[in-house]
Amino acid sequence: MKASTPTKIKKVSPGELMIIWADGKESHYVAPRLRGMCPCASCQDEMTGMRIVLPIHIPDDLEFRKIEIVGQYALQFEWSDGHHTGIYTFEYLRELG
Amino acid sequence: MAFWNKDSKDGGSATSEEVLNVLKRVQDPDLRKDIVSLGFIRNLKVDGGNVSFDLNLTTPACPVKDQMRDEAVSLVKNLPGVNNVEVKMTAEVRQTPQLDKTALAGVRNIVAVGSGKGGVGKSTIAVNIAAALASEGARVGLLDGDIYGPTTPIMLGLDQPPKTIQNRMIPQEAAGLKFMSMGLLVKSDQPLIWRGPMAHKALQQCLFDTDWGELDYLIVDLPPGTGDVHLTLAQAVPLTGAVIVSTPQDVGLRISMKTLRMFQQTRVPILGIVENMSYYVCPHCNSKDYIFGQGGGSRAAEQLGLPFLGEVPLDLAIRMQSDIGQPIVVAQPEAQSSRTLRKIAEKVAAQVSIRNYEAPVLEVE
Repeated sequence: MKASTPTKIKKVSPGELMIIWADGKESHYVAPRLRGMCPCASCQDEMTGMRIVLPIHIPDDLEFRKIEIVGQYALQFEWSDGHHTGIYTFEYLRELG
Repeated sequence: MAFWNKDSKDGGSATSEEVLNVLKRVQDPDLRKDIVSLGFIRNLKVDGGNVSFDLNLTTPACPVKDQMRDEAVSLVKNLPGVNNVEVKMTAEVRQTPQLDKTALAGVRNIVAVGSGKGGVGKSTIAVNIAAALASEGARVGLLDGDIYGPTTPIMLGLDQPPKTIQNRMIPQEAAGLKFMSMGLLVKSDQPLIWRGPMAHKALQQCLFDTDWGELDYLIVDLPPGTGDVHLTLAQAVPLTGAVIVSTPQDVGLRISMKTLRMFQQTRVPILGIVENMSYYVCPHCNSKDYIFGQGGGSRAAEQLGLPFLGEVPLDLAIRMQSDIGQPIVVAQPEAQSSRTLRKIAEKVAAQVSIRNYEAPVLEVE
């Protein structure tokens, strides 16, 4: 199994996500920071990669409202600010973790 | 006291434990475990010299079911005190993990059939795999997702749009399949000029708003190449896997590579490669001509570490049956090409069983 395959995905608190990977590595993600890395086209310019949504736009107390597995390759989050279009591939999450 | 005890060795008949013990020697070659540990033995009854049980496999289209049954029967028959062995073959197709959490909870497995380019016979292979699985007793659905050039309705002899009851589309039935086509949603002589979001929406509707009921396998015939339909499918449901159809001319699968990589990027397991148009069968003398070269598909599959599912010939009978809307595996089940296609379908079913057996269960806690 690929190292970047999650074996456990757990919301440890309203604002924190934990992923344990196939190779045993444990990653923790804090909601506002993860939201700031949203790969979707309205948060990041598709051509230049420039961030459109910046940390100042994101409240410190942002929470995960919903976490869904996309097919079998990614996670999609609905945040407490209503945004929900970002698809975070397992590779991307592994990089960020 | 022992003389009326059926389980006693003195009485001369075998015990259930003895029967299970010898059955442990029968291995499922695909799952690489013995049939007792896999829980395949059901309703075991030992009555004097008569032994009966069900052999409950993971697919009715198991390629090695006769071999496993014969092995089991002969082992049990050789036990002292056993005169008669009766085996009933049954099957229960396991579900792909997470599929039960989607709107398609009644569907056990979804298998996509894709290709690197058009014109390789992807739809022919998809229709025949689906019909072959159904002919072996599986509950099968076929979703024609090739919105840009839907051919499966012709191959099944269907040209009417599906009926709708209370906003749910009722799949049509042909060749033992439940069938739904994105192409039947628009008039057949009208070109389909859809932007991505429309293709996305149409696929979602055909998947989720169709009354599929209970299915063991839902086969999805994809458009050629990579695109909106593929991505939507990979995102909308946990696919059991994908079958890639290629031709010998696709040297080293260079053309199919992009499709392969797309499935890998979205972590859809590749169940294997089917080589179509492998050779030409002369309708007069039945000789084989490898007009596009020989062995390319199997070599490429080996290099990529993927299962090679088989070679399908350029056979006039396959084409003719497709054109009159009756897939060859149903219309001429004993034809050589039907046997070949059935073997491929069985290999797909076996790969599905292996995937479901190995697949990790992932959920958000």
